[in-house]
Amino acid sequence: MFKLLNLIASSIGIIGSADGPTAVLVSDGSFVFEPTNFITNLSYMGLGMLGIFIVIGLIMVVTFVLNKIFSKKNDDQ
Amino acid sequence: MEVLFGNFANFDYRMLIMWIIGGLLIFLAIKKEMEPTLLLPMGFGAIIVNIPGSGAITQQITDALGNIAEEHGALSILYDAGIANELFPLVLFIGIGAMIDFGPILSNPKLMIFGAAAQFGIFFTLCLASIFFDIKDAASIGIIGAADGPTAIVVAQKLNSQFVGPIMVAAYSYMALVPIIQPPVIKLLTTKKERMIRMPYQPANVSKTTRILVPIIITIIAGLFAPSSVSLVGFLMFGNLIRECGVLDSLSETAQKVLANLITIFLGITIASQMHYEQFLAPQTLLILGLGLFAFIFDTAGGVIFAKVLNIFLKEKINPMIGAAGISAFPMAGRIVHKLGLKEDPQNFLLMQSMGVNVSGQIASVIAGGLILNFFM
Repeated sequence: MFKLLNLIASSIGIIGSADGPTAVLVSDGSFVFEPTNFITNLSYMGLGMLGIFIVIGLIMVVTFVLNKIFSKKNDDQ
Repeated sequence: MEVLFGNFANFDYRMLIMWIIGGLLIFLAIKKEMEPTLLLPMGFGAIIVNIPGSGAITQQITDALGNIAEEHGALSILYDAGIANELFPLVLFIGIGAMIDFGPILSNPKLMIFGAAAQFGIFFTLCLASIFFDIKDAASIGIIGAADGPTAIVVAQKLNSQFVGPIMVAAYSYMALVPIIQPPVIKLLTTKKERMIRMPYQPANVSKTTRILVPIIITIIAGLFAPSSVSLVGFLMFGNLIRECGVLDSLSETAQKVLANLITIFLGITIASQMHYEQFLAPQTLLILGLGLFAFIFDTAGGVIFAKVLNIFLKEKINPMIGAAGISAFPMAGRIVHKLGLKEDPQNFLLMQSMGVNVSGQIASVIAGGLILNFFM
Protein backbone atom coordinates (compact mmCIF):
# COMPACT_ATOMS: atom_id res chain seq x y z
CA MET A 1 0.00 0.00 0.00
CA PHE A 2 2.80 2.40 0.91
CA LYS A 3 4.65 1.49 -2.28
CA LEU A 4 1.53 2.23 -4.34
CA LEU A 5 1.00 5.62 -2.68
CA ASN A 6 4.66 6.43 -3.21
CA LEU A 7 4.32 5.49 -6.86
CA ILE A 8 1.28 7.73 -7.33
CA ALA A 9 2.94 10.63 -5.51
CA SER A 10 6.12 10.43 -7.57
CA SER A 11 4.06 10.10 -10.74
CA ILE A 12 2.11 13.29 -10.02
CA GLY A 13 5.36 15.05 -9.26
CA ILE A 14 6.92 13.93 -12.49
CA ILE A 15 3.94 15.12 -14.53
CA GLY A 16 4.68 18.59 -13.19
CA SER A 17 8.16 18.49 -14.65
CA ALA A 18 7.24 16.93 -18.02
CA ASP A 19 6.77 18.89 -21.20
CA GLY A 20 3.47 19.09 -23.12
CA PRO A 21 1.06 16.16 -22.93
CA THR A 22 3.77 13.59 -22.32
CA ALA A 23 3.89 12.20 -18.84
CA VAL A 24 5.89 9.31 -17.55
CA LEU A 25 4.47 7.01 -14.94
CA VAL A 26 7.42 5.29 -13.36
CA SER A 27 7.15 2.02 -11.52
CA ASP A 28 9.96 -0.42 -12.19
CA GLY A 29 10.91 1.25 -15.46
CA SER A 30 8.59 -0.86 -17.59
CA PHE A 31 5.47 1.29 -17.38
CA VAL A 32 5.33 4.51 -19.37
CA PHE A 33 2.70 6.83 -20.83
CA GLU A 34 3.57 7.94 -24.36
CA PRO A 35 0.38 8.62 -26.38
CA THR A 36 2.39 9.50 -29.49
CA ASN A 37 3.54 5.88 -29.68
CA PHE A 38 0.07 4.94 -30.90
CA ILE A 39 0.55 7.00 -34.07
CA THR A 40 4.19 5.97 -34.47
CA ASN A 41 3.30 2.29 -34.38
CA LEU A 42 0.34 2.43 -36.75
CA SER A 43 2.79 1.38 -39.48
CA TYR A 44 3.06 -2.02 -37.79
CA MET A 45 -0.71 -2.31 -37.94
CA GLY A 46 -0.71 -1.49 -41.64
CA LEU A 47 2.13 -3.87 -42.42
CA GLY A 48 0.72 -6.62 -40.26
CA MET A 49 -2.78 -6.54 -41.75
CA LEU A 50 -1.34 -6.27 -45.26
CA GLY A 51 0.90 -9.25 -44.57
CA ILE A 52 -1.96 -11.38 -43.28
CA PHE A 53 -4.19 -10.51 -46.23
CA ILE A 54 -1.40 -11.30 -48.71
CA VAL A 55 -0.62 -14.67 -47.11
CA ILE A 56 -4.28 -15.65 -46.73
CA GLY A 57 -4.97 -14.41 -50.24
CA LEU A 58 -2.22 -16.65 -51.61
CA ILE A 59 -3.55 -19.61 -49.66
CA MET A 60 -7.03 -18.93 -51.06
CA VAL A 61 -5.71 -18.87 -54.63
CA VAL A 62 -3.75 -22.08 -54.09
CA THR A 63 -6.82 -23.76 -52.62
CA PHE A 64 -8.97 -22.69 -55.58
CA VAL A 65 -6.38 -24.09 -57.98
CA LEU A 66 -6.03 -27.36 -56.05
CA ASN A 67 -9.81 -27.77 -55.97
CA LYS A 68 -9.91 -27.28 -59.74
CA ILE A 69 -7.06 -29.67 -60.47
CA PHE A 70 -7.87 -32.36 -57.94
CA SER A 71 -11.64 -32.35 -58.00
CA LYS A 72 -13.25 -35.55 -56.69
CA LYS A 73 -14.11 -36.56 -60.27
CA ASN A 74 -10.42 -36.47 -61.25
CA ASP A 75 -9.52 -38.41 -58.13
CA ASP A 76 -12.04 -41.13 -59.02
CA GLN A 77 -10.54 -41.35 -62.53
CA MET B 1 8.31 -24.96 17.64
CA GLU B 2 10.07 -22.71 15.15
CA VAL B 3 10.46 -25.68 12.86
CA LEU B 4 6.66 -26.10 12.85
CA PHE B 5 5.54 -22.48 12.70
CA GLY B 6 8.58 -20.64 11.34
CA ASN B 7 7.24 -20.52 7.79
CA PHE B 8 4.14 -18.56 8.87
CA ALA B 9 6.37 -15.53 9.35
CA ASN B 10 6.99 -15.55 5.60
CA PHE B 11 3.31 -15.12 4.83
CA ASP B 12 2.39 -12.00 2.80
CA TYR B 13 -1.20 -10.74 2.41
CA ARG B 14 -0.67 -10.70 -1.35
CA MET B 15 -0.38 -14.50 -1.25
CA LEU B 16 -3.93 -14.58 0.05
CA ILE B 17 -5.06 -12.43 -2.89
CA MET B 18 -3.46 -14.93 -5.26
CA TRP B 19 -5.21 -17.81 -3.46
CA ILE B 20 -8.49 -16.03 -4.09
CA ILE B 21 -7.61 -15.51 -7.77
CA GLY B 22 -6.64 -19.19 -8.03
CA GLY B 23 -9.90 -20.15 -6.37
CA LEU B 24 -11.82 -17.97 -8.79
CA LEU B 25 -10.19 -19.68 -11.77
CA ILE B 26 -11.05 -23.09 -10.29
CA PHE B 27 -14.64 -21.94 -9.69
CA LEU B 28 -14.98 -20.71 -13.28
CA ALA B 29 -13.54 -23.99 -14.55
CA ILE B 30 -15.76 -26.31 -12.51
CA LYS B 31 -19.00 -24.43 -11.92
CA LYS B 32 -19.19 -22.44 -15.17
CA GLU B 33 -17.24 -25.00 -17.25
CA MET B 34 -15.11 -22.26 -18.77
CA GLU B 35 -12.01 -23.79 -20.41
CA PRO B 36 -11.62 -26.23 -17.51
CA THR B 37 -8.66 -27.99 -19.13
CA LEU B 38 -6.59 -24.88 -18.54
CA LEU B 39 -8.25 -22.71 -15.95
CA LEU B 40 -8.33 -25.48 -13.34
CA PRO B 41 -4.60 -26.34 -13.49
CA MET B 42 -3.76 -22.63 -13.65
CA GLY B 43 -5.97 -21.88 -10.67
CA PHE B 44 -4.51 -24.68 -8.59
CA GLY B 45 -1.00 -23.77 -9.66
CA ALA B 46 -1.58 -20.15 -8.63
CA ILE B 47 -2.37 -21.37 -5.13
CA ILE B 48 0.62 -23.68 -4.72
CA VAL B 49 3.22 -21.19 -6.00
CA ASN B 50 1.94 -18.59 -3.54
CA ILE B 51 2.44 -20.65 -0.42
CA PRO B 52 5.35 -19.20 1.62
CA GLY B 53 8.62 -20.91 0.74
CA SER B 54 6.80 -23.04 -1.82
CA GLY B 55 8.93 -25.96 -2.94
CA ALA B 56 7.04 -25.99 -6.25
CA ILE B 57 9.15 -23.12 -7.59
CA THR B 58 12.86 -22.46 -7.40
CA GLN B 59 13.71 -20.61 -4.20
CA GLN B 60 16.81 -19.13 -2.64
CA ILE B 61 17.23 -20.78 0.76
CA THR B 62 19.44 -19.35 3.49
CA ASP B 63 20.60 -21.92 6.00
CA ALA B 64 21.49 -21.34 9.70
CA LEU B 65 25.10 -20.50 8.74
CA GLY B 66 23.98 -17.82 6.28
CA ASN B 67 24.85 -19.84 3.18
CA ILE B 68 22.51 -19.29 0.26
CA ALA B 69 21.48 -22.31 -1.75
CA GLU B 70 19.04 -22.71 -4.58
CA GLU B 71 16.26 -25.22 -4.16
CA HIS B 72 14.82 -26.25 -7.51
CA GLY B 73 11.06 -26.51 -7.71
CA ALA B 74 9.21 -28.87 -10.03
CA LEU B 75 7.18 -26.15 -11.71
CA SER B 76 10.29 -24.09 -12.41
CA ILE B 77 11.96 -27.16 -13.90
CA LEU B 78 8.90 -27.83 -16.06
CA TYR B 79 8.78 -24.17 -17.08
CA ASP B 80 12.42 -24.22 -18.22
CA ALA B 81 11.89 -27.55 -19.96
CA GLY B 82 8.71 -26.74 -21.83
CA ILE B 83 7.62 -23.11 -21.78
CA ALA B 84 10.82 -21.06 -21.70
CA ASN B 85 11.87 -22.87 -24.89
CA GLU B 86 8.29 -22.88 -26.30
CA LEU B 87 8.27 -26.67 -26.58
CA PHE B 88 4.95 -27.42 -24.82
CA PRO B 89 2.78 -25.01 -26.86
CA LEU B 90 4.37 -26.18 -30.10
CA VAL B 91 3.77 -29.85 -29.34
CA LEU B 92 0.20 -28.98 -28.28
CA PHE B 93 -0.26 -27.49 -31.73
CA ILE B 94 0.29 -30.94 -33.24
CA GLY B 95 -2.72 -32.14 -31.29
CA ILE B 96 -4.77 -29.08 -32.24
CA GLY B 97 -3.90 -29.49 -35.91
CA ALA B 98 -5.00 -33.11 -35.76
CA MET B 99 -8.36 -32.06 -34.29
CA ILE B 100 -9.23 -29.50 -36.98
CA ASP B 101 -11.20 -30.46 -40.06
CA PHE B 102 -10.28 -28.07 -42.89
CA GLY B 103 -13.15 -29.37 -45.04
CA PRO B 104 -15.59 -26.46 -44.54
CA ILE B 105 -12.97 -23.87 -45.47
CA LEU B 106 -11.45 -25.85 -48.33
CA SER B 107 -14.88 -26.28 -49.91
CA ASN B 108 -15.47 -22.52 -49.78
CA PRO B 109 -12.02 -20.85 -49.78
CA LYS B 110 -13.26 -17.29 -50.23
CA LEU B 111 -14.41 -17.31 -46.60
CA MET B 112 -10.74 -17.41 -45.55
CA ILE B 113 -10.59 -13.65 -46.01
CA PHE B 114 -12.69 -13.15 -42.88
CA GLY B 115 -10.15 -15.05 -40.84
CA ALA B 116 -7.60 -12.47 -41.94
CA ALA B 117 -9.86 -9.50 -41.14
CA ALA B 118 -10.58 -10.75 -37.65
CA GLN B 119 -6.91 -10.38 -36.64
CA PHE B 120 -7.32 -6.59 -36.64
CA GLY B 121 -7.58 -6.52 -32.85
CA ILE B 122 -4.03 -7.89 -32.47
CA PHE B 123 -2.40 -4.98 -34.25
CA PHE B 124 -4.76 -2.33 -32.94
CA THR B 125 -4.03 -3.47 -29.39
CA LEU B 126 -0.31 -3.48 -30.16
CA CYS B 127 -0.57 0.24 -31.02
CA LEU B 128 -2.71 0.93 -27.94
CA ALA B 129 -0.44 -1.03 -25.61
CA SER B 130 2.63 0.80 -26.93
CA ILE B 131 1.30 3.90 -25.15
CA PHE B 132 2.05 2.16 -21.84
CA PHE B 133 4.70 -0.50 -22.57
CA ASP B 134 7.81 -0.88 -24.63
CA ILE B 135 7.19 -2.22 -28.13
CA LYS B 136 8.08 -5.87 -27.48
CA ASP B 137 5.83 -6.04 -24.43
CA ALA B 138 3.12 -4.21 -26.40
CA ALA B 139 3.41 -6.78 -29.20
CA SER B 140 3.20 -9.63 -26.67
CA ILE B 141 0.07 -8.04 -25.20
CA GLY B 142 -1.43 -7.51 -28.66
CA ILE B 143 -1.06 -11.21 -29.46
CA ILE B 144 -3.62 -11.95 -26.75
CA GLY B 145 -6.01 -11.04 -29.55
CA ALA B 146 -4.86 -14.12 -31.43
CA ALA B 147 -7.23 -15.94 -29.03
CA ASP B 148 -4.78 -18.79 -29.16
CA GLY B 149 -2.86 -19.89 -26.09
CA PRO B 150 0.14 -21.55 -27.77
CA THR B 151 0.66 -18.59 -30.12
CA ALA B 152 0.47 -16.14 -27.21
CA ILE B 153 2.99 -18.17 -25.18
CA VAL B 154 5.44 -18.60 -28.07
CA VAL B 155 5.37 -14.92 -29.06
CA ALA B 156 5.64 -13.64 -25.48
CA GLN B 157 8.55 -15.99 -24.76
CA LYS B 158 10.45 -15.24 -27.98
CA LEU B 159 10.08 -11.49 -27.39
CA ASN B 160 11.30 -11.97 -23.79
CA SER B 161 8.26 -10.23 -22.40
CA GLN B 162 8.32 -9.79 -18.64
CA PHE B 163 4.54 -10.16 -18.56
CA VAL B 164 4.26 -13.78 -19.70
CA GLY B 165 2.13 -14.74 -16.69
CA PRO B 166 -0.62 -12.11 -17.07
CA ILE B 167 -0.57 -12.52 -20.85
CA MET B 168 -1.19 -16.26 -20.59
CA VAL B 169 -3.89 -15.83 -17.97
CA ALA B 170 -5.57 -13.16 -20.11
CA ALA B 171 -5.37 -15.23 -23.29
CA TYR B 172 -6.89 -18.37 -21.81
CA SER B 173 -9.46 -16.56 -19.66
CA TYR B 174 -10.78 -14.48 -22.53
CA MET B 175 -10.93 -17.52 -24.80
CA ALA B 176 -13.30 -18.99 -22.24
CA LEU B 177 -15.25 -15.71 -22.12
CA VAL B 178 -15.82 -15.50 -25.88
CA PRO B 179 -19.54 -16.46 -25.49
CA ILE B 180 -19.92 -13.40 -23.25
CA ILE B 181 -17.66 -10.95 -25.09
CA GLN B 182 -18.72 -11.51 -28.70
CA PRO B 183 -22.56 -11.33 -28.80
CA PRO B 184 -22.90 -7.74 -27.52
CA VAL B 185 -20.22 -6.53 -29.96
CA ILE B 186 -21.89 -8.34 -32.87
CA LYS B 187 -25.33 -6.95 -31.99
CA LEU B 188 -23.94 -3.45 -31.63
CA LEU B 189 -22.41 -3.50 -35.10
CA THR B 190 -25.19 -5.22 -37.04
CA THR B 191 -28.87 -4.67 -37.70
CA LYS B 192 -31.52 -7.35 -37.24
CA LYS B 193 -31.96 -7.46 -41.01
CA GLU B 194 -28.24 -8.12 -41.48
CA ARG B 195 -28.23 -10.86 -38.85
CA MET B 196 -31.07 -12.57 -40.70
CA ILE B 197 -29.20 -12.80 -44.01
CA ARG B 198 -29.19 -16.40 -45.14
CA MET B 199 -26.15 -17.98 -46.72
CA PRO B 200 -26.99 -21.20 -48.54
CA TYR B 201 -24.30 -23.82 -48.10
CA GLN B 202 -23.18 -25.41 -51.33
CA PRO B 203 -20.07 -27.38 -50.52
CA ALA B 204 -17.62 -28.19 -53.26
CA ASN B 205 -16.17 -31.67 -53.13
CA VAL B 206 -12.74 -31.55 -51.61
CA SER B 207 -10.47 -34.33 -52.76
CA LYS B 208 -8.14 -36.22 -50.48
CA THR B 209 -5.18 -34.97 -52.52
CA THR B 210 -6.19 -31.38 -51.80
CA ARG B 211 -6.56 -32.12 -48.10
CA ILE B 212 -3.04 -33.57 -48.06
CA LEU B 213 -1.39 -30.82 -50.11
CA VAL B 214 -2.98 -27.83 -48.31
CA PRO B 215 -1.15 -28.17 -44.95
CA ILE B 216 2.18 -28.57 -46.76
CA ILE B 217 1.58 -25.56 -48.99
CA ILE B 218 0.31 -23.38 -46.13
CA THR B 219 3.50 -24.11 -44.18
CA ILE B 220 5.68 -23.15 -47.14
CA ILE B 221 3.77 -19.94 -47.93
CA ALA B 222 3.60 -18.77 -44.31
CA GLY B 223 7.25 -19.67 -43.78
CA LEU B 224 8.40 -17.68 -46.80
CA PHE B 225 6.67 -14.53 -45.56
CA ALA B 226 7.26 -15.01 -41.83
CA PRO B 227 10.11 -17.46 -41.20
CA SER B 228 9.71 -17.07 -37.45
CA SER B 229 6.27 -18.64 -37.78
CA VAL B 230 7.55 -21.91 -39.29
CA SER B 231 7.53 -23.73 -35.97
CA LEU B 232 4.03 -22.49 -35.09
CA VAL B 233 2.46 -23.03 -38.51
CA GLY B 234 4.52 -26.12 -39.22
CA PHE B 235 3.50 -28.00 -36.08
CA LEU B 236 -0.16 -27.08 -36.58
CA MET B 237 -0.08 -28.24 -40.19
CA PHE B 238 1.90 -31.37 -39.29
CA GLY B 239 -0.91 -32.35 -36.93
CA ASN B 240 -3.43 -31.77 -39.70
CA LEU B 241 -1.36 -33.78 -42.18
CA ILE B 242 -1.27 -36.72 -39.78
CA ARG B 243 -5.07 -36.53 -39.67
CA GLU B 244 -5.66 -36.18 -43.41
CA CYS B 245 -3.07 -38.61 -44.83
CA GLY B 246 -5.27 -41.58 -43.98
CA VAL B 247 -2.38 -43.92 -43.12
CA LEU B 248 -1.61 -42.73 -39.61
CA ASP B 249 -4.93 -43.13 -37.85
CA SER B 250 -3.37 -44.31 -34.60
CA LEU B 251 -0.94 -41.36 -34.55
CA SER B 252 -3.79 -38.98 -35.33
CA GLU B 253 -5.84 -40.37 -32.48
CA THR B 254 -2.87 -40.21 -30.13
CA ALA B 255 -2.17 -36.60 -31.13
CA GLN B 256 -5.81 -35.56 -30.67
CA LYS B 257 -6.32 -37.25 -27.34
CA VAL B 258 -3.32 -38.50 -25.39
CA LEU B 259 -0.72 -35.99 -26.56
CA ALA B 260 -3.05 -32.99 -26.36
CA ASN B 261 -4.29 -33.96 -22.90
CA LEU B 262 -0.80 -34.71 -21.58
CA ILE B 263 0.66 -31.42 -22.74
CA THR B 264 -2.40 -29.52 -21.52
CA ILE B 265 -1.90 -30.91 -18.01
CA PHE B 266 1.72 -29.80 -17.93
CA LEU B 267 1.05 -26.49 -19.67
CA GLY B 268 -1.75 -25.43 -17.37
CA ILE B 269 0.00 -26.02 -14.10
CA THR B 270 3.38 -24.79 -15.35
CA ILE B 271 1.96 -21.47 -16.54
CA ALA B 272 1.10 -20.89 -12.90
CA SER B 273 4.80 -20.65 -12.06
CA GLN B 274 4.51 -17.14 -13.56
CA MET B 275 1.69 -16.28 -11.19
CA HIS B 276 3.79 -15.56 -8.13
CA TYR B 277 2.32 -12.52 -6.39
CA GLU B 278 5.47 -10.46 -6.89
CA GLN B 279 5.13 -10.77 -10.67
CA PHE B 280 1.37 -10.93 -10.97
CA LEU B 281 0.00 -8.34 -8.55
CA ALA B 282 1.21 -5.24 -10.27
CA PRO B 283 -0.77 -2.32 -11.80
CA GLN B 284 0.48 -3.50 -15.18
CA THR B 285 -1.47 -6.76 -14.79
CA LEU B 286 -4.80 -4.94 -14.65
CA LEU B 287 -3.82 -2.88 -17.66
CA ILE B 288 -2.80 -6.02 -19.57
CA LEU B 289 -6.13 -7.69 -18.72
CA GLY B 290 -7.95 -4.59 -19.98
CA LEU B 291 -5.92 -4.41 -23.18
CA GLY B 292 -6.49 -8.13 -23.77
CA LEU B 293 -10.22 -7.53 -23.61
CA PHE B 294 -9.85 -4.71 -26.16
CA ALA B 295 -7.99 -7.10 -28.44
CA PHE B 296 -10.86 -9.57 -28.44
CA ILE B 297 -13.45 -6.83 -28.95
CA PHE B 298 -11.58 -5.29 -31.88
CA ASP B 299 -10.97 -8.71 -33.43
CA THR B 300 -14.72 -9.27 -33.45
CA ALA B 301 -15.40 -5.76 -34.70
CA GLY B 302 -12.75 -6.07 -37.42
CA GLY B 303 -14.29 -9.22 -38.86
CA VAL B 304 -17.87 -7.93 -38.74
CA ILE B 305 -17.07 -4.51 -40.22
CA PHE B 306 -15.03 -6.10 -43.00
CA ALA B 307 -18.02 -8.22 -43.94
CA LYS B 308 -20.30 -5.18 -43.90
CA VAL B 309 -17.89 -3.27 -46.17
CA LEU B 310 -17.74 -6.21 -48.58
CA ASN B 311 -21.54 -6.30 -48.69
CA ILE B 312 -21.52 -2.82 -50.23
CA PHE B 313 -19.96 -4.34 -53.34
CA LEU B 314 -21.60 -7.77 -53.39
CA LYS B 315 -24.89 -8.68 -55.03
CA GLU B 316 -25.27 -11.83 -52.93
CA LYS B 317 -24.95 -10.51 -49.42
CA ILE B 318 -22.91 -12.13 -46.68
CA ASN B 319 -24.22 -12.38 -43.16
CA PRO B 320 -21.73 -10.02 -41.43
CA MET B 321 -21.82 -12.08 -38.23
CA ILE B 322 -19.56 -14.69 -39.82
CA GLY B 323 -16.77 -12.12 -39.72
CA ALA B 324 -16.83 -12.49 -35.93
CA ALA B 325 -16.13 -16.22 -36.30
CA GLY B 326 -12.67 -15.35 -37.64
CA ILE B 327 -11.41 -15.01 -34.10
CA SER B 328 -9.23 -18.00 -33.38
CA ALA B 329 -11.20 -19.34 -30.40
CA PHE B 330 -11.99 -22.66 -32.07
CA PRO B 331 -14.71 -23.98 -32.13
CA MET B 332 -16.50 -21.61 -29.80
CA ALA B 333 -16.57 -18.53 -32.03
CA GLY B 334 -18.10 -20.51 -34.90
CA ARG B 335 -20.79 -21.97 -32.66
CA ILE B 336 -21.65 -18.56 -31.19
CA VAL B 337 -22.26 -17.06 -34.64
CA HIS B 338 -24.39 -20.05 -35.62
CA LYS B 339 -26.48 -19.71 -32.43
CA LEU B 340 -26.97 -15.96 -32.98
CA GLY B 341 -28.13 -16.68 -36.51
CA LEU B 342 -30.65 -19.26 -35.28
CA LYS B 343 -31.89 -16.84 -32.65
CA GLU B 344 -32.83 -14.29 -35.31
CA ASP B 345 -34.15 -16.86 -37.78
CA PRO B 346 -34.62 -20.50 -36.71
CA GLN B 347 -34.16 -21.58 -40.34
CA ASN B 348 -30.84 -19.80 -40.82
CA PHE B 349 -28.06 -22.38 -40.55
CA LEU B 350 -24.69 -20.68 -40.57
CA LEU B 351 -22.68 -23.45 -38.90
CA MET B 352 -20.62 -24.67 -41.86
CA GLN B 353 -19.75 -21.14 -42.99
CA SER B 354 -18.92 -19.94 -39.48
CA MET B 355 -16.81 -23.02 -38.71
CA GLY B 356 -14.95 -22.53 -41.99
CA VAL B 357 -14.19 -18.93 -41.05
CA ASN B 358 -13.22 -20.07 -37.54
CA VAL B 359 -10.67 -22.50 -38.99
CA SER B 360 -9.22 -19.82 -41.24
CA GLY B 361 -8.96 -17.58 -38.18
CA GLN B 362 -6.87 -20.25 -36.49
CA ILE B 363 -4.46 -20.19 -39.43
CA ALA B 364 -4.47 -16.39 -39.72
CA SER B 365 -3.76 -15.93 -36.00
CA VAL B 366 -0.67 -18.10 -36.24
CA ILE B 367 0.49 -16.12 -39.28
CA ALA B 368 -0.12 -12.91 -37.34
CA GLY B 369 2.07 -14.26 -34.55
CA GLY B 370 4.78 -15.06 -37.07
CA LEU B 371 4.59 -11.58 -38.60
CA ILE B 372 4.90 -9.99 -35.16
CA LEU B 373 8.00 -12.09 -34.48
CA ASN B 374 9.35 -10.98 -37.85
CA PHE B 375 8.87 -7.33 -36.97
CA PHE B 376 10.39 -7.38 -33.51
CA MET B 377 12.94 -10.17 -33.28
